[in-house]
Amino acid sequence: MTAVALWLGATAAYGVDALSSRKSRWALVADLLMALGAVCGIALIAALWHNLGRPPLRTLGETRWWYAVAVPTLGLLLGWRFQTRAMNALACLMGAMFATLNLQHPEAMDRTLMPALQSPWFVPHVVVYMVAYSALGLSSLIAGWTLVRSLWAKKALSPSDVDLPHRLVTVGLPLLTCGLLFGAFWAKEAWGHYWTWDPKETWAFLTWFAYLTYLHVRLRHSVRPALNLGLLVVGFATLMLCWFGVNAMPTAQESVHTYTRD
Amino acid sequence: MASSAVRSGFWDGPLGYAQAWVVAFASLVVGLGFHFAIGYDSPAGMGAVLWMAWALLASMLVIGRAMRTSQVVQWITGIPFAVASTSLVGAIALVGGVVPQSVVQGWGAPSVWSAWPFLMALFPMLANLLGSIGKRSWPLNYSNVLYILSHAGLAVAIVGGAVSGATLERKTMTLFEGQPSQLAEDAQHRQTKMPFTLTLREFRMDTFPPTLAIARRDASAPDGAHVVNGSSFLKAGALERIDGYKVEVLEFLPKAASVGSRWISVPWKTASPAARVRATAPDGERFEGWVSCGGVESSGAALELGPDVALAMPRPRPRKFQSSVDVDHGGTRRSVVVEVNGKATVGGYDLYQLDYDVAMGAASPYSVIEVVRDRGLPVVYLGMAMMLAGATLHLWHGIGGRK
Repeated sequence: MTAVALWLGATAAYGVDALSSRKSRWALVADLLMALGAVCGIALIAALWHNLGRPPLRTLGETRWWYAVAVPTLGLLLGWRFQTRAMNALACLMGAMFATLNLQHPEAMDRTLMPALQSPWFVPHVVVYMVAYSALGLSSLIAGWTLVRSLWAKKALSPSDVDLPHRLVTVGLPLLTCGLLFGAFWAKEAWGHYWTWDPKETWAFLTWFAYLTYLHVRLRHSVRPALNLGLLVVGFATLMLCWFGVNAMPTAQESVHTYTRD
Repeated sequence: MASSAVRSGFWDGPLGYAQAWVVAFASLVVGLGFHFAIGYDSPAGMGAVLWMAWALLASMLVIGRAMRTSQVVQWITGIPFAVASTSLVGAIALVGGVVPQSVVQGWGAPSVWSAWPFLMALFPMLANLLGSIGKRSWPLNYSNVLYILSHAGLAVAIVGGAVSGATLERKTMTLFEGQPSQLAEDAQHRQTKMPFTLTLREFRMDTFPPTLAIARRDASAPDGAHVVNGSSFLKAGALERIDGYKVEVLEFLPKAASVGSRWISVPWKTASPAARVRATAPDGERFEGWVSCGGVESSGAALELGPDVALAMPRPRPRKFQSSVDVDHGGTRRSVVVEVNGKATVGGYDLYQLDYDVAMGAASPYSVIEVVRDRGLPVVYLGMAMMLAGATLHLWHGIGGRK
């Protein structure tokens, strides 16, 4: 709750900063609120981990908490690294949205962890995926926002509009690759198969392919920003289907990767 | 005449996306042709086609390098070809991600992933991948090494996967306690003799301590009841609030059997847990009684809290499945433990805990062990390691480590 308030406060401060002439002061206040929100979120995850006695990474609700915390944290860190605050307000809003979703639909978390998940690969696999999802989510959010803004203002897009989302993809896609490979190593140890085209694996492959396609198109067509930004939106839609949508698909019953308590 | 001129112009001009899409779809059409002409019942026919395809693909490594200045090779190893061919593979994978395999089997293919259209759609994608690796194989500067690590890593992993698919041995051995067995069964129920003997000493299934749940009759819920699970493991004195009810555990028996209206502690392996609980409703009304999930010997018990509400104990969740097995191999005997996420290796075969008698739970008289030998695995792991190295370097670039 505190983190949500801090992130919303940070969003407001970034908004005031955009309108104000004394930019640096408001931006610093916003940075501080964003960082405090991230600290609160990290403390929440640490408390959950401690109380449950296992990594809080098993169910969709638990991974949503990680995502809610990772997006603003990563936004702040990469913003500092890339010397830009352009994504910070969107990162705060996304974090606040995911956290609010969890607050409105609290999930009963139990302390059990089924045998398949008791592996040294569990934490690196899911955490790397969450960080990758955060970078790619931010990238697509900025892409979508840029597309909508250009349509609204009837203003032509410039190739430089793709720079920031593209830089986020160059962080997110390697991590997505690592997550995919960690999952394959783990599956071999647990079940004897590194790849079985299970529905969840298939959608992870599709998500990876979608971003690979973007990367290759971008290499050849860097002067077509609308195409690049559009592909990023498609990539994020695939990612969301992989994360949440698989459970609702006709193939869901064939998946062994459903760990939400029935 | 006019049509011929158009077709000629289409292939003579600069080759780009349109031509790449035509090739990609042609591979799909060829795949559909094989689906109907060769089918899946002739391993010799399938093998011949796949060996030819692999030979052609391997030659792309050399062609990509030796003829890298040719316009056609530039096109095959270029981005439009990559985008078209990977998009087609992605589109077929999308079918596999949405359509249940049982439906695909109704179309005559064992699965999307071994269907001819998918295998043939992979062909242009791999031609592009291998040709581009050949093209970028020299000089070994930083940029090319980075390219090779990620692209050749993927290619090596796919080749390893193909070797795995062709040579994989995957069988199951059903072991009964104290009875040595050398027989393994494949998916077609053909039995073979393994070069080792396994004897199950003990199958163990540990569970987490049970929890409680409030169930409300709800016709709209999938199982006819809306269930709110508690999160605390049961122990005497535990106190928890579930769905508005304050629930206190007065007595907890990890292994119990019912005697009339009460439960007593018993030493049986298959006995179920039971707890005497007190529940206080939001309006202050109190209920007291026994709850148990039941098991092989006893049926369960729930505490009625109203006409449509009850306090129940869901079955405890499994914590560990474990088989202690004696292995006789090459004149020596040793003991191994096989569990989920904890394989054992015997004579080049990996042993995995696969199944047990679910109805009997911890008292299962048998354990099913999966026996796997995967000769392509080292190649797959080499490819994955290269991909990991490539991804790490790309990440370093991404965060600005090297411009």
